[in-house]
Amino acid sequence: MADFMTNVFFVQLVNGLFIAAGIYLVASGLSLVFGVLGILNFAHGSLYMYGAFFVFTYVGFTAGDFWPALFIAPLAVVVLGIVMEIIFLRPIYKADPLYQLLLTYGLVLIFGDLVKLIWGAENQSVARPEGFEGTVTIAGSLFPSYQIFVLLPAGFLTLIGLYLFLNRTAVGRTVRAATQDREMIGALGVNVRLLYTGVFAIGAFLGGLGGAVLAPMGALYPGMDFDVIIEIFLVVVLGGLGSMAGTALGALIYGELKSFGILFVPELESVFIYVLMAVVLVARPQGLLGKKVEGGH
Amino acid sequence: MEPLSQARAAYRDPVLWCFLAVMALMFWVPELIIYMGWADFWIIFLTEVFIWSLFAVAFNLLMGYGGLISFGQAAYLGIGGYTAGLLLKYIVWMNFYVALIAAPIGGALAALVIGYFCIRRTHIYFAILTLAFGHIVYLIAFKWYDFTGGDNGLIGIPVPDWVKDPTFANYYKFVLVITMIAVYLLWRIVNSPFGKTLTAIRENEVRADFVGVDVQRFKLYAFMIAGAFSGLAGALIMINERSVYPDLAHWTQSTQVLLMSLLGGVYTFFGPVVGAFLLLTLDADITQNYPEIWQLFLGGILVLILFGLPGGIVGFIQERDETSADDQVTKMNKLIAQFSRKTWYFFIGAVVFTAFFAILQAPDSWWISEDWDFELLSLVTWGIIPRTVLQAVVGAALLWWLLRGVRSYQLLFRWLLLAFTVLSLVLQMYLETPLSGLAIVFLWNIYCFYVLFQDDIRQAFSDGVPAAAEDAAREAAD
Repeated sequence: MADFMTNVFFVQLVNGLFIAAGIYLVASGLSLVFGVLGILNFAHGSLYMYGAFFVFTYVGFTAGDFWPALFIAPLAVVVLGIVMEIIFLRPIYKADPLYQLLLTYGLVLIFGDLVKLIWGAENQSVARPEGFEGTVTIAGSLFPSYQIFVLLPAGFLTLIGLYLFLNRTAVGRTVRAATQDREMIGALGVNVRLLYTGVFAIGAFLGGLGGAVLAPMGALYPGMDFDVIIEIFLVVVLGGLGSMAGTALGALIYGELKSFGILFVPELESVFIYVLMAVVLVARPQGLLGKKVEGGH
Repeated sequence: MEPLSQARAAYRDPVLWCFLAVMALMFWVPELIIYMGWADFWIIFLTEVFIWSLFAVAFNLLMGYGGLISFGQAAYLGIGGYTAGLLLKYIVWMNFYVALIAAPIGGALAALVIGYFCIRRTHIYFAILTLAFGHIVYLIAFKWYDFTGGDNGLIGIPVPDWVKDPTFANYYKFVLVITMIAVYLLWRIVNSPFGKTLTAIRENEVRADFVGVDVQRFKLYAFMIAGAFSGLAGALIMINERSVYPDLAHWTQSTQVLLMSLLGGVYTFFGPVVGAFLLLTLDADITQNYPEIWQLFLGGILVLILFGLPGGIVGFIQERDETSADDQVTKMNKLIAQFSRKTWYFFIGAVVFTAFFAILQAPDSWWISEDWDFELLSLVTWGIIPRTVLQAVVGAALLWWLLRGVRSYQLLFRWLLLAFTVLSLVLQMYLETPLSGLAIVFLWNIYCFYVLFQDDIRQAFSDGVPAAAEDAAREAAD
């Protein structure tokens, strides 16, 4: 019996990691964009959705060739993101943050219906790549091999890659400096416009990558953007807006809480995370690892 | 002026009384519709417009006056609907009116709990928190089958016999009266010291705090008031449909009300009413023909408003042209100068919208219809584009001529202008322009009347007290 319980515990723990890795892939882009540009991009969920649908289209065209899509789909999303940044976001960087939020919200509505027009309103699905349809046994429990060999590594690699990029490269240092003081960066001669577009492109890439990696794991449907945006908002707010480490921590907490919530109270699993968020915001308004700033944004 | 007399003067505001008078006149619209033999759809449609106007004005108490943008206001719509619905459905002896009163109480209580967390944060955080809590209300309604019926909703909710009137006129009148009372109450709230304090908080929270205002408490009260009136609106919608579904609390409803306020103008009291009227008309038009692009259209409107018309339609009308103020020009001419510029925008807008929606409604007859013959009298059989071009040319020429004359023969041309606005409405009706085109022209008419008569209206109310809404608009402009 005790053995069975440890087993269940282990399974839920790993399942929580799956959820965390998936949500981190999407949320990291949102957090990065907010940290540098100061814009909370509602349309990040749309970028995620387009990543998934681009994979669907690519796999459909090439009759099942999945792996290149993991790279090509996010690149297509980057193009979309850059166009969006130049046309819609550039004119409003100095505007009221709420104004920016409303604008990106309008873009969510537009992107959402465009998906319906292009891919139809029905649910679509992407088959798992060959060799990853089955399960693997780890410590006596069965896990889907796609999650173990693709999703988890993708999450970890993104985490490590972002860390290295931000802390070990010159560009990353500039980006980090921009999260501290945007005006000063401009005064020091950095091309702020280019920096913003670049960071937005990275954010779009991460969002698209999240959509691409998660595409084979569930149905693709118009409206998946909104389902994910609430989740990533929760994760990012929980961890602290603009804090990259906070996002990772938030994703981990979110994943485990959701995983164990399903085990104990299946009907109201999603309520836990909201309760936790409420408690955190009352006790520590800036989020778990956020900088202590009040007012402003 | 002393604060008290200022507050009293606010109740004499012409816009409020015009609104109430129009609403009172609309009491007999169902009789008119039945007498004329028009479809029952119109009665139901207007009922919906009233309910959504109430909802939008309540929402705008937060957004426009409090500066708190809630992305989850539909939660209270849902809570109101479910409160009244569950009471009526499961408690046999439940009185209809008691259930109706319970809805706003339920909305206020929910807003108290949710608001306790939300108002601690401002701006973006507030928006996210309301969104998240709104979504959780939706999820509870959607997933808790034993209590709320899940996605099957609550159906067959018992209502009194008078609501089930086959012409829908009784319920129309009921909603009309409740909306009038509720909007009047909201007006009192907005113009009370409470409302002024709320606006002060919006303008500068830190300063309001320094002068001793308990900012958090005021925000929480505003949140609760908005929640209460939203709950009432939710119950009214529930009774209208005699059922309630989780969709009532869905984020798309929050979007709708947000857009209504933005479209009408957030810094005006009645802007959301105009927005509700317009958006529901557009909705009826578009969903009839192209249901799949409704969100696309909403998003497009949102982006356009943000880039082009941040004050909304009513805010645009009330905006003052300070630069054109010149001592040499008489008051009337100043008015007309300002009027003419905006009239142009409005006129062009009306024509474009008419054309756009005419095309939506009859996509095959863009140019000419098949039985077209070149006679002016058979204008109806012309295609949409030639008809619109003709309308625009004739209208623009008439307008130009009239406005030229206004300066010299003021009174006469004022009346001609009035006749012209009505004429355009008649023309649109004769041409069987789609609903949205009519709505635009109708608004244009009201606007013309408002501008041309505003001095008379002011005088009738004995002094030149500017509407509080205009004050707010000016404050916002500063």
